[in-house]
Amino acid sequence: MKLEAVYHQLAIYPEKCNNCLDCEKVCARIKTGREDPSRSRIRTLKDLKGKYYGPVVCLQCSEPDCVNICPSGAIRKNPGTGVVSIDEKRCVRCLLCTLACPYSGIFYSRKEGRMIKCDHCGGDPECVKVCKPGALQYLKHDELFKTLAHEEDLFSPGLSACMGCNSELIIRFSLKILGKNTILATPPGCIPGFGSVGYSDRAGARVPIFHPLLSNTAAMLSGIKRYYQKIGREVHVVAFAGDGGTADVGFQALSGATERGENIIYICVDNEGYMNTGIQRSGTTSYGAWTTTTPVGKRGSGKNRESKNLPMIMIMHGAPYVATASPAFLEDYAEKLKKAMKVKNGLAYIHLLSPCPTGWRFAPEKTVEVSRLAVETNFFPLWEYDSGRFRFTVKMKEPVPLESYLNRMGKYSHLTGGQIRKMKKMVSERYKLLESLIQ
Amino acid sequence: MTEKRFVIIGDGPAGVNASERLRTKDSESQIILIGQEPSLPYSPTVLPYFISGKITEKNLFLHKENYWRDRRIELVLGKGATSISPKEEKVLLKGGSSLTYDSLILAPGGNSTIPDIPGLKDIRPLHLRTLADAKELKRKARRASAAIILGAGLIGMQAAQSLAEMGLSVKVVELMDQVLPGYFDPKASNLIRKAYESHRVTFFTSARVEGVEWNGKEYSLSLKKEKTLHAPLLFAATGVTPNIEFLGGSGIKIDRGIIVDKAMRTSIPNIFASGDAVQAEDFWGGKKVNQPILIHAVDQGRMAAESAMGEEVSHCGNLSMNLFHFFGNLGLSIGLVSPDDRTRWEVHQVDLPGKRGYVKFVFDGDCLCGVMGINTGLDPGILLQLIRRRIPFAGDKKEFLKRPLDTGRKFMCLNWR
Repeated sequence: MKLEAVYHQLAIYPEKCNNCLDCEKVCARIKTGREDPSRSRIRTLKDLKGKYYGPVVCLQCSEPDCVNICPSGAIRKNPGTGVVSIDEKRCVRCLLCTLACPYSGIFYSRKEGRMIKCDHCGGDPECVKVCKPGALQYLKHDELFKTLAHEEDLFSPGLSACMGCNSELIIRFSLKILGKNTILATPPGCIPGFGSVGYSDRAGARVPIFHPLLSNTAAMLSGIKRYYQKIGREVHVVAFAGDGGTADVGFQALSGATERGENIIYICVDNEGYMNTGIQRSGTTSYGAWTTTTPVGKRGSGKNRESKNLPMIMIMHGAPYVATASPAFLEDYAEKLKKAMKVKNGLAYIHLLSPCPTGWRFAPEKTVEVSRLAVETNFFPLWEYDSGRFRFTVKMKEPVPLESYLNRMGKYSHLTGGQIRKMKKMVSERYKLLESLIQ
Repeated sequence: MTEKRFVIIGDGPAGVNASERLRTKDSESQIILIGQEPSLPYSPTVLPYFISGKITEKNLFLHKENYWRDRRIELVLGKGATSISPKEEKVLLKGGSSLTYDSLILAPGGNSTIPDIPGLKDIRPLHLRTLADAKELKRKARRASAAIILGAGLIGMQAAQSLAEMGLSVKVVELMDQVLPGYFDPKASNLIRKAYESHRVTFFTSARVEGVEWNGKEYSLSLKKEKTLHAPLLFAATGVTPNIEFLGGSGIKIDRGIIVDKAMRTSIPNIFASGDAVQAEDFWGGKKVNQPILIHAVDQGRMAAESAMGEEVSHCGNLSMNLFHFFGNLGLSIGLVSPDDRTRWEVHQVDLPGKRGYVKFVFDGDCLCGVMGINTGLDPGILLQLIRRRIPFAGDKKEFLKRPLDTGRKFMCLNWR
């Protein structure tokens, strides 16, 4: 059996650790029957100055040095689960694995007289269950990866998006879920700008794709969908539009199509501005944000209006399915896209916040981090509205302070204390509105 | 990717790791692993444990036959190489057959050094490099009540432990004035010696052997200025000599081992080398050294494979290290442990109360450059990385000396996890 590229993962978020030692206690109890932390397979860093650095535990490496060095072939990585384990019959206690492991993941236990290490409790780690602050999490991203990895990539290689742009990730990922029975429309914006239009193996998409006007995306898709409905063929008709093409210029067509109950999937890839034409403000640009048309200087201090709450507007239009999504929570997005594909009685709308390294002023490698923080601070909560029923799909137990999101990028770097307070109030009001609808 | 033929001479840890690395990176090319012994690949490190019975013969091989078949790594067993011809890109094997290659990785390992003692060469003492050696030693040890071991290095000490655990009374003869010279300082080696002595092992240090005799039943070893020792078993563990005789005439640059650079390249472009047979750069700079230890063999084997695939790699250099498990105790030694110049190096010794041990840290300025200790309770892997990566302690030295375990883990979290 071949090793997979990814497995379930015991993830450590050191910044959340409060050194309560619950993980050590439960591990020792489960593995040895005694609540003696020195028998635990997971260890927290104790009695150090300064902040906590989170627990230390075997990372179940993809190419484990302990496996390579083990002279008796006693250590193996399970190709099914990815867990690295020790065969007691073969282990000679030479301890060379502890020299090879750079992460302190394998120990000799004098009390037990053998080598010990984390085994993910057979796929349901106890330490994760008792970790109140969420410093330990058991991630199952690999499940989605394993299903999608074998699907054909319906987008050609060689796109010219800015470094760190979310859109390529989003479009390749979405097409793997949508499948070949799809017709795409990408109105003017970053997505056609990086080379999405073109139907061949060498350029653009490997499904039919066209480039409507900024103003008529939903109208054109309505016509295409109706034609296929008329000839009796099921096909997913999907728009990937920017916030300008959705909330501003394209809005009347979208509003009309929603009201008429056209059966299309409309995905707004919201980067809060007209980024490909020079970073101008749009209807969804957030309050306080710098753009080239909301400059910061003697008179200006970023956008002085609140952003359009477009997903709410879409619900009021009577769309049967509306959801928000984030590229940092792809499983969540995948579920929502699958639900949108099942909608038959109207328009399905997904509003995806897509942080833009070029226009928002942050380093290209931080895109997913910024996307995640937008959700973790409740700046952009993830929820869905499915035929009258509201629910949060990802709920933050303890939201991160909004400043940690704002501090990550240049477009908010000028904000005054007053502006931040105002933003916090807006974020909290929008969140309270959602909470009241969900109860 | 064009298909190539990779040939690896030697199926010890370096050769095995090279073959596995090649297969991970290249699913198409042909990979041939040549082993001198008829058995499936194993690691000689495990042999002392086979003698003491901690592992059975059935379990000692690294992988079952189908592992190699599934990965399409062809094993040519029982057929060491007799010579190579870089001009024709060909390896000649015992028995007259030959193999051509596109890239060759040399991992032939070493043989036991037989010390220059009058009479010793003729009576062929036991040694421990192969499974056959281990079986012979085990068979003879079962019938014996005592044994003499030449050399108190790692192999000698491990064999002494294995034989002591079998119930033999063991006498260890060492030329230097302490056991495990180079790895441990006198204080630590005394602790080790005491643990052995409580298990019926006697040591004769600073002992020069003047002659050996065999009367058909017993060996007699006469020591200078000392009595003569007698035992029915004689075991030599005085070092490892690289197995490089077959490279004579090949044109590959050889000194006390196969000379390699940091990317495991030999002096011939498509030939790479790794493991106990190489003489590679020293971590601290200076002359190239032969350092036959398992962790280098594994790292170098993998690097030789990557280098053979055209990747840019660089080994950090041979760094002395060892981890030594004896009668329930743990000895640890990494890097510079007994520096001679106290003005350059800063040495801190910490006694570990109640733990029958102590630990010594050696610093070069702000960086750790050596650790040595008995029953330290520390993470050897983290200490090794701190030295290898030359992590600056930046004001945390005091905290480290107070709480080396947790501070070491903190450095790991901050620097490489």
